[in-house]
Amino acid sequence: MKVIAENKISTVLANSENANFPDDNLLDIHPKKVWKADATNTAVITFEIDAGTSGLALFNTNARFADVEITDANYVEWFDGTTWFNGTEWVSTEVVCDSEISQNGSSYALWVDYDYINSALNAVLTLTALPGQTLEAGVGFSGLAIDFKNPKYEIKQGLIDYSIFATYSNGAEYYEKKDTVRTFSVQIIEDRENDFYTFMNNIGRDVGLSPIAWRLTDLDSFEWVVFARFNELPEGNHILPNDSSIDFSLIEVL
Amino acid sequence: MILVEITINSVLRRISNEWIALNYMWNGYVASIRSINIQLTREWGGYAQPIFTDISFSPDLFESDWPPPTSCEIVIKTTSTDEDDAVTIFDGIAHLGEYDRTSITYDLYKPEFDAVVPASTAFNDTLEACLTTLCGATYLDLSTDYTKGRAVSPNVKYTTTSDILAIDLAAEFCAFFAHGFKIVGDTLYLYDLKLRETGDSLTEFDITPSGYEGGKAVSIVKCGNYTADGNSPYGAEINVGTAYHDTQANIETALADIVTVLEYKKSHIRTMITSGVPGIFDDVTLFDESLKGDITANMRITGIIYNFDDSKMELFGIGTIT
Repeated sequence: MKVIAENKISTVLANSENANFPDDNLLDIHPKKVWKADATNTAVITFEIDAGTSGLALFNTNARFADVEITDANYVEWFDGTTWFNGTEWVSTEVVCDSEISQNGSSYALWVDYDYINSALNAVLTLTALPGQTLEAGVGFSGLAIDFKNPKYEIKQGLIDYSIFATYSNGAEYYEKKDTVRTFSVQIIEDRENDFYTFMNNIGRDVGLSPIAWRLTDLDSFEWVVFARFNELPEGNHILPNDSSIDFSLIEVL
Repeated sequence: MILVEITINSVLRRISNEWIALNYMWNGYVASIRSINIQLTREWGGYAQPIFTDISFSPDLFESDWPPPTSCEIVIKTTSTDEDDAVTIFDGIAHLGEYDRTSITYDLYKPEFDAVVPASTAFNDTLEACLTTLCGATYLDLSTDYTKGRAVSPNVKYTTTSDILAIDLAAEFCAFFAHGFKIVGDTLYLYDLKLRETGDSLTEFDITPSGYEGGKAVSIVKCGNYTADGNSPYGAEINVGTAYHDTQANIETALADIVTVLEYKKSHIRTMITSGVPGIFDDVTLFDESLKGDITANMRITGIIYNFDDSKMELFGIGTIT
């Protein structure tokens, strides 16, 4: 499981933009406040990201294909084996990424892992939606992807429906579809020192109920990349001197 | 959904009670909007005036405009599709009310029609002609639409005894002669409350459980020395106040029309805010088979309560039930 608790994207620039849906919307924490390309199904988004990151996520997009390139802040590409001036060896320019389907109709989420980079960088995303669609996306989120153990089974997953429902006089039903969000309720078991404290302090205490980026499992195709907030702050049990469990539940945000 | 255009420090902001991307991005900063009522000046007619209370916003709306400004221009619309189908239900001023850590509340005010008709102003013409005078540039400065008025407009004969707001005088004229009017944009639309036309049909697939009433129990309607009898000797005695004519026959005809309007059956229709729902003064035919026996209600809508938080509305109609 990975969590990006702090968004270090400083600026965003899209090479195509509907003036009513500017690219700055990608920095807003509401996924439904979308950026839209200007009547095209493909566009390039460039995130300028501060130092100290290892993950990037994009939420509420209709993109079906994504090509991600991580460059340094001057757009110099990092090739395999290239050694940065401080001796850090950088990953390939072809960053392995997972595209996960969220439950909101045709909405998708993208999660990109890369080795920790302690300097400013640019992430260049070439996104493509299906032909005939206008490309859009909700929230870009990049930062240190803190690694935890995957949740223990059983994992509860549910839905909250914000739709309007009423019953007519004859028993027929009125249903006005609104948004539906996912909920997750999980338990992770971690070393008390340091992972338990990292989770409770760096995420629970520091982030509180603000929405952040979650990849609930490292396994592929589980569709558990979600922009969510705690329902309540997490609670732990020190089940053994060196092992602790943490229970928490998440609500996807709109 | 509701669409709100609010101008904050000269910048137009588009917000809604949900996050929704239509032709524009409407940010979900509307925390709640209290119900909006449209009701007539009097039970038997007058001005169908929207009564607004307040609207609350998320503090995020004012993130770059803190503290919230004292007043803002605001337009509230409702739509079930997009901006092109949106219907304006309020266009006025939002004045800062109470705010705390979680919400900013603004009270809603309509621009007032503050034109005054001075004392000793004489009116001696048909109701429609008098309304035309009151809607002239001197007073209300409105266009008029009398297509739903009475075939033969009743005569008004009245001289004001003191200064009175033109909008109030128009409402009183209309109420006395069992008419109602609404103002949409820059136009006054007149409606004869005795009339009903074939309107949209509503069925049980359009309404949630609704209620009905018999007509008001009226024993007598009085105006000075003149009266008109109702059909319920045990019922209420109603004084309509000022007579807007000085001839007995005209006054008694007006009072009889008021009795007719008061004794119309009433419906209290509860439904959802969707596209195509009736508006004020619209005529509807409601087939309700959910009661002990089937009924057909032919109603003219004379009152509405919008509840946007629940996407529901209540329609108050007068007419016939068979």
